[in-house]
Amino acid sequence: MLFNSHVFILVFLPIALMGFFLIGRSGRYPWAIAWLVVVSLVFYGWWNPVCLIIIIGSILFNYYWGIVVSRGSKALLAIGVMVNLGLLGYFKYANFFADNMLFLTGFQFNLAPIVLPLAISFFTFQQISYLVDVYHGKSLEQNFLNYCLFVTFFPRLIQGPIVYHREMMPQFVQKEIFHFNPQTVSVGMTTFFFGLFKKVIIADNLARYATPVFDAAAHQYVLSFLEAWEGALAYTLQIYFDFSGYSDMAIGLAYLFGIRIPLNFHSPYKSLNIIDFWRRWHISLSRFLREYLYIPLGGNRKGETRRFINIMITMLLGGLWHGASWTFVLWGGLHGVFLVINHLWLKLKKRFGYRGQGGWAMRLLSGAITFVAVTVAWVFFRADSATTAFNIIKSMTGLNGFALPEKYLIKFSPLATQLEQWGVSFRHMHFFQGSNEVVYIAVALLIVWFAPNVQQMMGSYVPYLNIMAKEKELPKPSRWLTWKPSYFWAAVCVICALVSILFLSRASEFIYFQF
Amino acid sequence: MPQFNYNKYFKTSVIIISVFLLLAAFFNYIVDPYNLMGNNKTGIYFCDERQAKDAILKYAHQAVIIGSSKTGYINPDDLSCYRFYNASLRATVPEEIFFYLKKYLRDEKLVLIGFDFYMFNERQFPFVNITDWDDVTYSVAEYLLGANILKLSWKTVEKWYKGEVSHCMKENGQFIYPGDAQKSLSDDPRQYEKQYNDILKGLVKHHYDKISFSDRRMDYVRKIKELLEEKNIPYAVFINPKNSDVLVALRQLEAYELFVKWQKEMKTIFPNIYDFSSSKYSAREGFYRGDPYHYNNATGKAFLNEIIKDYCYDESTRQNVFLELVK
Repeated sequence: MLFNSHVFILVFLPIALMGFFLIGRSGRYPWAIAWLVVVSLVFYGWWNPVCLIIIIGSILFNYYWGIVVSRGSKALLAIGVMVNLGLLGYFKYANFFADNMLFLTGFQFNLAPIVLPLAISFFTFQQISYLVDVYHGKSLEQNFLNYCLFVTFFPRLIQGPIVYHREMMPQFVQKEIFHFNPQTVSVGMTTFFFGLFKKVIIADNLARYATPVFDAAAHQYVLSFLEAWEGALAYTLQIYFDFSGYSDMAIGLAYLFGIRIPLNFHSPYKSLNIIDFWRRWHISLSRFLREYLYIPLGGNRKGETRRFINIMITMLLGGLWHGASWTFVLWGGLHGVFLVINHLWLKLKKRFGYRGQGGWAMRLLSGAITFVAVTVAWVFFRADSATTAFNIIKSMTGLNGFALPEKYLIKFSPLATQLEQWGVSFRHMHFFQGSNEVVYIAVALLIVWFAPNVQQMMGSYVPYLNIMAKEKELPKPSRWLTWKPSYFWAAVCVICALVSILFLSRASEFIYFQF
Repeated sequence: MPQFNYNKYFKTSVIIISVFLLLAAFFNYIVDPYNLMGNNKTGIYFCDERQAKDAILKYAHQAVIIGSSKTGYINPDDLSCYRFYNASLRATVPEEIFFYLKKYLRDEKLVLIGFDFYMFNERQFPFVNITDWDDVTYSVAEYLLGANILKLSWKTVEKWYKGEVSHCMKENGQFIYPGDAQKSLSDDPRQYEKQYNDILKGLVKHHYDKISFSDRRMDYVRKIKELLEEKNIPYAVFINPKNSDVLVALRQLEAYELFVKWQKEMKTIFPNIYDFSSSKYSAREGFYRGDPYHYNNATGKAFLNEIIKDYCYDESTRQNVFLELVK
């Protein structure tokens, strides 16, 4: 079931909430937990009930394996992790492996058609973290029902954030969460509708400019400079509003039940360098990769060269986690290279004793370089193949010529001859009209660069778990942008909700749905 | 500004949202601009044939004609031998035709399918990612709570209030030709020629410039063939007549080579295909005056009856009875 569907918003969610609070009011807390597990399984199985077998099987294995691992055997932990990775590998990467084997060796595997179970990447990583935590004595769940809830809790089941057992489950011990609390419900509802607005109104409209460009490029259409940038920028913004909108919705939904789940985004496009970008983008995944991959590989403890190798391994695997395709690996690799360059730059600065942040011009330049680097990397993430991605990048660099829409010929008539001498042609462009899309992309850029994010606006109530490095606090926005219960904010919430619900369209899945 | 408490905030927001949604749903339900709920009393002013052509289930018919708007303007009652339903959809593409036929074909005696080269240009007509015809049509919630439906409901009421005439489609599925382009063209021959050429140029640019030829659409063409053969329904496939002026323009473009290749491929899939693209039906006069893309009803009737005569059999004797019926 999608968060942005009528059935979820108008039927499933009200029933789930009412059931939880009604049972909670009677004091039967384990029943309320059981209710949440049942509705979460309904939520999960809505798309394809067969996938329930896989998630339930995975839960059963990991619950019992957790008890076994708690005895302290590293070998048993390794087996547990391997089983989880094996499950993920089979469902997500078997075809990828078979295709590459065929390409490299000519050997053909005959695999039965594999349906990728929804959210397998998320619930597998979550349970791997649980097993490792159990081994280190940080967690152990003795109650099977609670364990089921830890894995299936529907607000974060499909696309995360990746939450650790030790940070979510203790919250279900507090009796207050089982009782209707107007404050948490108001904050949760508002956060949810703000996220829905970001997804339905902003991300889905940006997709109208991104998708045709990438599709055309996939069909060998040679994009002009402006068309290529339009597609790349629209997608860069679409994926942010889509995924951060989803994360806001997840945080809001969990908070309706009084539960805090991790903050997943903190205005990543405001980053001044790539290291900072990865502290703000998909924070829960970055944290997981850092704690369960980068640090066990040795992190930065084994010298500079090894550190850079570890960064590259982490980012390449992080890329592969997103999907079984070389484009994702390239995306991860590109970010790995960016991170290495960033660390080398910091080292260089340190060597020359430069510690300052730089003036506004330096900050502007850093921000611009970071944003362009991230945008270029998204081209690989979105393109159907590396060839398509390179063709788009070629157009973005101007190697396929620079053109302006025909209609500008009249507007630029005094300069037309000069521009044409400089190689600028005026011609009909299929994807860049120079009108609505420019306004749309410009407004979205202004929002991501200058506006506070939803979690900052709800900041007084902290409806999320702060997992930012060193628990860095989100800066508070100006007073009028800070949410509080008032007529003004009720009107804003109602408008966001109504507009979003009226513009819901069934075809619009979340980008991270497939991961 | 006065402060709310949380309880008041929550209740006020939920109540206002619920009331507005209920009002929107009620308004859409009552006006019912596409008459999907069977409540429309004002007349249907907006045609979304993808929503409305499930009417095929209620319309007593023996045969079906399907294709794009080109075939959409043909009056199926003018066709011989069988009672036809015109299931054509504006700007349709092969994957839509496949899923429509898959859902709605029963035991028709003949299915006529019209293809066009431009349908295979994914740049102009992006691939429609559906797995079933239901993916195209509105669910009840989408219909009652859709902002676009709300807009159409409002406009429907406005048009009804002003007493405007509906330009939509007939019960037999035929689109009513709006004729707007025709009206706006000049009577002065030189002026007319210029306007006509501008329209032609625009259309050719949109349809044939920088074609992204869709191989997956060719796969859907093959699927359509398999579907009809599986259901054992007689069918005939044709390529629509092209206006001679369009043909001249097309020959100047890179796309022409692709067009010829496509024609050959269609012929390979359907050896008995009726290719009217360059035929006696291509004369400018056979098309609407201000619209070089759409042939008129007389042209459509003529070439379709030419096809139908090959499929007009008396069921008991298996004799071709076309000529007798025409008499």
